[in-house]
Amino acid sequence: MGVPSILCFTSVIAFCGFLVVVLPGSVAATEPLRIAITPVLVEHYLDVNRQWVAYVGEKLGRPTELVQRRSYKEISDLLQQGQVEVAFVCGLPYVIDHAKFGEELLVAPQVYEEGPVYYSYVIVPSDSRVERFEQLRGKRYAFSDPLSNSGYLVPTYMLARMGETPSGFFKRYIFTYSHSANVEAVAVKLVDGASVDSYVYDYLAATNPALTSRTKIIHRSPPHGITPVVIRKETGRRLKEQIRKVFLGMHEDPKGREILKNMMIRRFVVVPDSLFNSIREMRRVVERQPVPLTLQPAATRK
Amino acid sequence: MTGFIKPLRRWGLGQKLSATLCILVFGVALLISFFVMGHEEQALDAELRHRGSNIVRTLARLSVEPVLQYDSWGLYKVARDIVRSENVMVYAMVLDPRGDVFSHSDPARFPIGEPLPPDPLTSAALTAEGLLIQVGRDPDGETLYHVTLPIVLDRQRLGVARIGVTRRHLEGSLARLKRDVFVISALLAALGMALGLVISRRMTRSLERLSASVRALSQGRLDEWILVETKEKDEIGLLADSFNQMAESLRERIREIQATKRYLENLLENANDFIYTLALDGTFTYVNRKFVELGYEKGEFIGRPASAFLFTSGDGRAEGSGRGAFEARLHAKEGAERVVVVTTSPLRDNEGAVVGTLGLAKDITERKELERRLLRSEKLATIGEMAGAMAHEIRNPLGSIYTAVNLLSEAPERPIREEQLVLLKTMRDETRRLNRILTDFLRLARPRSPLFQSHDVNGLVEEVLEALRHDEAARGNAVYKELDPRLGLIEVDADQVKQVLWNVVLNSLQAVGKDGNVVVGTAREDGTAKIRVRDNGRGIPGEELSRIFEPFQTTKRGGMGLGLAIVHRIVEAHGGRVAIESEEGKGTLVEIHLPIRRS
Repeated sequence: MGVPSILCFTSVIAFCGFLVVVLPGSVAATEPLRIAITPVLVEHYLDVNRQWVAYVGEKLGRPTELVQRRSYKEISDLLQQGQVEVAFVCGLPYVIDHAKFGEELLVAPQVYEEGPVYYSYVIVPSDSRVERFEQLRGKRYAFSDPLSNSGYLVPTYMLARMGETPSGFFKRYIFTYSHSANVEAVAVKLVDGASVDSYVYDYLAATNPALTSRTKIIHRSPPHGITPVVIRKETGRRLKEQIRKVFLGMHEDPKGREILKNMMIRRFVVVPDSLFNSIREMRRVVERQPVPLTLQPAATRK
Repeated sequence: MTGFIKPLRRWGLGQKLSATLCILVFGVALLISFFVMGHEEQALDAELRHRGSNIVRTLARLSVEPVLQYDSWGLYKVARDIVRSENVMVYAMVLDPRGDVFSHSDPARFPIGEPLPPDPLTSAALTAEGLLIQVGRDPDGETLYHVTLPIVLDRQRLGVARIGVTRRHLEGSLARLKRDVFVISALLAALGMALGLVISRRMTRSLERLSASVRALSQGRLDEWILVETKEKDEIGLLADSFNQMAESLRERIREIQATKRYLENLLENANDFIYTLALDGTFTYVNRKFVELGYEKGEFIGRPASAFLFTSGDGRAEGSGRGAFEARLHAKEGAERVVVVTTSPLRDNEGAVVGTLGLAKDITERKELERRLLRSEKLATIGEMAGAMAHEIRNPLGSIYTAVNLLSEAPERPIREEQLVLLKTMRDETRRLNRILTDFLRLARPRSPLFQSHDVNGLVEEVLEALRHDEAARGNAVYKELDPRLGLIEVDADQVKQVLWNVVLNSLQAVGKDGNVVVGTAREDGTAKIRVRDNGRGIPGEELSRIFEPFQTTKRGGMGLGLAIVHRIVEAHGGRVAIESEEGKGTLVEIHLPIRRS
């Protein structure tokens, strides 16, 4: 083997090294952008979700993939492990995950005129005699997700302020992992009351009034930061900006406006982390309770 | 029952067949359907239990995970969806091992965490080791199957899946099935009825045609009889064939009989003899066409007694029903009555009983006339022979006697007494009378051929009447004249015609009484000169009238009966004819026809 041969061999090795170092970036650029959501929002919302996920991909010029999981816990895990880049999550998981692995806020929808906030409703069957939350003592109650702000943290916070825990206050409580399921559970009287995301309830009132008319709202919480769109801390700044730009420009684009209309969202806005301080405060109060959060309803039996 | 059956007997074959088929089909259909429905019910029941078992197994399988996770919402959805997916489902539930509701398809009535109301079925369900099917009732009283299956994981009993399956839809299906069966049975029955009508129509059409033909045959309407055609070779077809043969031969026979009848009728009707039948009471029941020649319609005879038309001279056997033969006169409406020889024989019916008389009257009028003429000819011939002798042997002495008597009475040698004068006058009168008789006799026996010359017949009548006025034989009765001035001249023998007139008018004058009258008339009629002499005298009896022109026939005393015989002979010699009509007690009419020109 002569010098030329060695040079030649070296060149080949160098080229291969180039391929190994450079190409993964290009390959990564063509991989679909995975966006996760939970049906906590609205159970039968799949088509609407597909529309905006596809819209984002279209605007970015790269494929997107919708990833759905039943609980916020599963979404949090996917974000932490880097299996999804973007997710529509509740304020409570954001607060937890931001503290845990630096998950960042991207944008948040503005549904109500007041700003990017929403409420937690307490609903009961329309013919129920219950008029106040306190009257639900000893009744059956439905939460949505244990990591839901409106569907779990707000009512447990209310109980904590009363010096109560769910297992102590309610005769029995269940998790449906879906705000729309909570509405239905109240409508069919599987439970005597439930906590519901105001955005989901209002969306259902507009699209399925037959269902919501069998329920009534007896309590509306103070405003809290609405469910934001979050992104991994590790995602490149350029991509973050590109995606944010897409969301923020939706209401100015005819197609985006159509999708927003279907979602009953006015527009997406940039929100500060401090928007979720009320959630952090409630969490702090609730966690001071002697009885920890539990996922074992059987233990709640009296 | 009989009151119900009685109207059925009047039903036609078709109605009976239809009703039978209808009842039969309906009955069989119902029988089969109830049999099938019994099995169907069992099969549907078994199927329902099978479905209930499968559903409860699915519920138990789907319940494991939600039970482990205490997911009442998930269980509710499973129970709800199962109840919604099957129409036989009434409820679905999952109980925890203690019997509290884990989740129920009707959460409002059966809240989660609450025990079920205690009842024996639930107690049994909670302790069941395997699949358990219990039979209960729903609030409407419908049978409800409670199907229970324990939810087991790794031999650990997690709870009990239980569902309620109703038979309501099964009952509904069976009710629909019953209704369908009934409707189909009714349709089949209607079909059977229609089929029965069609079949019976085919059958009865042949029978009706057969019946109509029989009726036509029995009423003798041979032309209306139709051949009963049937293609079927069944019993009705064979009957129709037999009927056709019978009818054909019957028709042949009837035609033969009719032909024979027509032949016999022809014989009877066209016979040259009077043929009739009489009933036992002597009235006509049949007369043949020959009777019409008498101037009557046939109908004028039927039902009237034979004695009104048929006169016998003797014992009146015309009405008798026995066998016999006799001569009689048959009365005619127009023309002269007929002389007939009647032969009768009894008319018998099929049993041989006498029901009347068959009579055959042979017209012998012509023969009689011929016989009479022959007789007259014979008489005249005899007279002729006698006349030859008598002319000289009697007339010459008679002339001498007459001359002698005249001489004695006119120039007597001595005066004769008055009595003797009377005797002489009697002798002269009788001699003259003898001479006249002899003259008549000779005229008849040896007639002179007429000497035809043109004469005025009216003038001849006047002459005769004038002469008669002075004749004492005329007795002074009046004679009226109705003479036709248009009569004109006629070629006759004047002496002979005057002789004829003399004889006839004298007869009439002698026949009438004191206030009788005689009319003599002349007329021109159909190329003949007609002389009519009518009187209202005593008339001539019928039996003598027929022989009135024969010599020596007389009705008056002292007459020889030669006058009218001479009249007849002279008129015949002139080529004319003489007719006489007379009715006893009313008078007589004599008509003499003389041809105006000689050919």
